[in-house]
Amino acid sequence: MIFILLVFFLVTNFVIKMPMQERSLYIPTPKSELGRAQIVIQFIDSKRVFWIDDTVSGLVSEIEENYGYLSPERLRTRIVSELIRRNTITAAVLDTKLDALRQRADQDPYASYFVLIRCPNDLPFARMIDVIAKISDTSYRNIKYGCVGGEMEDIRQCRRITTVSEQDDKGFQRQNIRIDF
Amino acid sequence: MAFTRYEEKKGLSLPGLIDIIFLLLIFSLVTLSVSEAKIETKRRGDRSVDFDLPETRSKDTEEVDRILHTLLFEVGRQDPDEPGSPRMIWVLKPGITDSVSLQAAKVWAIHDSVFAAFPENFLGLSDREFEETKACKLIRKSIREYKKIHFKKPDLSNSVEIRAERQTEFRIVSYIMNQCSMYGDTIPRVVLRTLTVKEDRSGI
Repeated sequence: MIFILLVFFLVTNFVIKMPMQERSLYIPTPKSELGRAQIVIQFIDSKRVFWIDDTVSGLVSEIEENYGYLSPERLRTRIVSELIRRNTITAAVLDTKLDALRQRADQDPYASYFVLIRCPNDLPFARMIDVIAKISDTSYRNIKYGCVGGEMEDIRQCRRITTVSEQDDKGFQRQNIRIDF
Repeated sequence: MAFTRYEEKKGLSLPGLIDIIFLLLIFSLVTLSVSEAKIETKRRGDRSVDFDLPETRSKDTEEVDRILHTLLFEVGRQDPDEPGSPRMIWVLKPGITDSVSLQAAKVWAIHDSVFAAFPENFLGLSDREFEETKACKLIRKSIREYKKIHFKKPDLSNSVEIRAERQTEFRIVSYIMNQCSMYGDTIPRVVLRTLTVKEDRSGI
């Protein structure tokens, strides 16, 4: 009977402690400078996310080549609509992609990633926290992240979206996406 | 008359077995609770630590740090039982000796009227209108005053904390982060604390 009471006391003590537990994460404050990121995660709503990574530049280049005859405005609209169609993912797919990113980061200590997370004003901030929690605790701490406010409409109404050829730190030529809001 | 003596078969003592099982159970519970309270540390590679990367804590839940160490904005509802009640923000400041608890700091904040309510339609306000709300003015003033006294030069350890329930709208968090970023590297990061389960009203 004493042991039963002791077990009951311990379990109760443990359960009472649970409501007091919090999660805490450090988030860097945003900087007012031209944004660069390997991955951009734009929350559309609580269930859908728009994901842009390095695979997108090939798609944009392809559209620019195939539809170069269109006016700049129509070309921009076409690129944006195609990107949204192909790169809008669900929360479950987002988790899968974040896990894959984390695995890639853990496999290469010399790789570095920067993930920019854009959240609409009305989205619960916990969605952002969940994403950051997945990518912040890597073995080599080589995924940096930043979080800013932003709506999907900003991307839809961007002034320009195009590919630009740039040289990275190691001297390699890269095709990057440039979005002018 | 023949009497047959029946000897009890001596097998496993059930009460003793139960006692051992409970002992093992207690041991495992205590061990489990102690190990969950620790922050996990992973073995790092040969690569040197990048000091540009903000330090992150484990995503596992941990015990509430009840002592206030820096400026903390607590965001909640005016009436915790009413999901539609206006969002409130309280400004909690640590004491001189870093020994002020969250609870005491909140009592002081209420006493000193260092709190404000966001208007019910704050999500629909323009950026300018939102900045002119009483709550945003309080946020700006608090950060400015705290920075003036405590964050005199850029330092990675300078941070501001935000404590809010998970459903808190990102606009509020974003505004506080943007206000911190106005001071550049002087306030390089914010700490976000999310309450994972309903807050116990007996404490903070």
